[in-house]
Amino acid sequence: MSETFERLDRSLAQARHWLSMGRPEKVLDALADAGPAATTSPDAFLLRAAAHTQLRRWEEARQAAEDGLALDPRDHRLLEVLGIVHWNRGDRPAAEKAFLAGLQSVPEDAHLLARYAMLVAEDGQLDKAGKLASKAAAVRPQDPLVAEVRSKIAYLAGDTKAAREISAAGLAHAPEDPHLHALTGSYLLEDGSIGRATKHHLTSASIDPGDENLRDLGRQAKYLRNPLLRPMWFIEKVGPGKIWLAWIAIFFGLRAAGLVTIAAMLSLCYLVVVVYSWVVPPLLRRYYKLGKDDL
Amino acid sequence: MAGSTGRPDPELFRPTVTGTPAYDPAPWRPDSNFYVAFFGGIVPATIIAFLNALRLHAPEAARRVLVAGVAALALFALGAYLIGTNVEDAEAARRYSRLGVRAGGVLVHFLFLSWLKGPWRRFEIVRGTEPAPMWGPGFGAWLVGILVQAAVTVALMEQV
Repeated sequence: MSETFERLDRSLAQARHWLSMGRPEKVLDALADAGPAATTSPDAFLLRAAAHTQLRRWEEARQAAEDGLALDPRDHRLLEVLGIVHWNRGDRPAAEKAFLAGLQSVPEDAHLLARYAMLVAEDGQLDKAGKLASKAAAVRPQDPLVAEVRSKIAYLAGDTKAAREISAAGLAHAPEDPHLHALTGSYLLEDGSIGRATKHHLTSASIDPGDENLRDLGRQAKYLRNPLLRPMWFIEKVGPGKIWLAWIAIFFGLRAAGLVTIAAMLSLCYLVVVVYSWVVPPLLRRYYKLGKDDL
Repeated sequence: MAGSTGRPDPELFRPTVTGTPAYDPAPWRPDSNFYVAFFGGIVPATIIAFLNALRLHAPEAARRVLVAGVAALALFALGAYLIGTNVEDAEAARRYSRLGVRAGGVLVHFLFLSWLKGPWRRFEIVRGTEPAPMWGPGFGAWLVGILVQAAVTVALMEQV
């Protein structure tokens, strides 16, 4: 009997290790070695559900979470995973039901509070989201997930300065958190700091290679850092509109000054830049297997 | 208890999430308005950007788009009037007018784009729905735009 449980404990320890490494397939392999005792362990179901969630196999994840909840209906960790699964399948009311059931068991679970805050924020209820996020921060002020959610809610509320500050402070406390790297990178990308932004995105993808979203970000970063795209960095930073305006001003200025040849040469250069910006990025996007929505 | 958040607030734990997407109807990708602006000019670019700002839940941006669009159209009308009074060659006047429509459209597009950048980023964070295709509304706005702009151009040029 004790051998059976020792085997289960060993498998669970391995599964936890692989989950933290972002290797969900290995988690499932480890659980397959756990033997029949795994069917009586909510922890085994939790790890199975989490692995399927990482693999974006929502139906299998839901099944595993519900099987675990059949053993312990008040397990807040399983309810959290179940909520995430419903959320990703687009069923937000069901996600809310799962998160609230979890919060009924443990009202001060920072992760459940943070996830529920993000869910209601996506529903446009920013006041409620802010209160929930503050509650989560009161419980675990330096938790990376809490920082990520607080930053996103501040951003959604239009306070981009606070969003950046929260994200930076979160990253200072948790420099190995891939999601905070991803978020910080996205803010930097918005500021036109493509070099720094893509470094954060590459870091986030390398920390958690099992996360499909982060892998996509990593691919986008590689695309942006391709030498052929370097000329576009300047255009992105300054803005195509400003460059267009500058060209018009200079072109007509030169013409007014009688420098028609120089104006024509400038127009040719501008045309080359425009054609380059229309041709090269789509080709590179295809090379890196990125869709139009990816950037 | 360390880190306790005090008494639970029952209001916070009452279900309030609706099943409807956060963005309904879905917004259009603001970049795509470039084509509408380039081929249609100020009016269709303004129509699309205004409706898109509303779709992106950005009423302040929508108001600015409307004010800037009307101001740009007034400038365009003034330009058409000046061309009508100063350019004798009718063909050249029409060419300048077409150029004005196009340049004005692209200019206002870039202005609108800078105002819609933030709301669009917020949409990208929230998502829950794909951006809507702009083909139909873009064509409709283009049609309205060229009719309005042609009417303004003809009215002001013929008057002089």
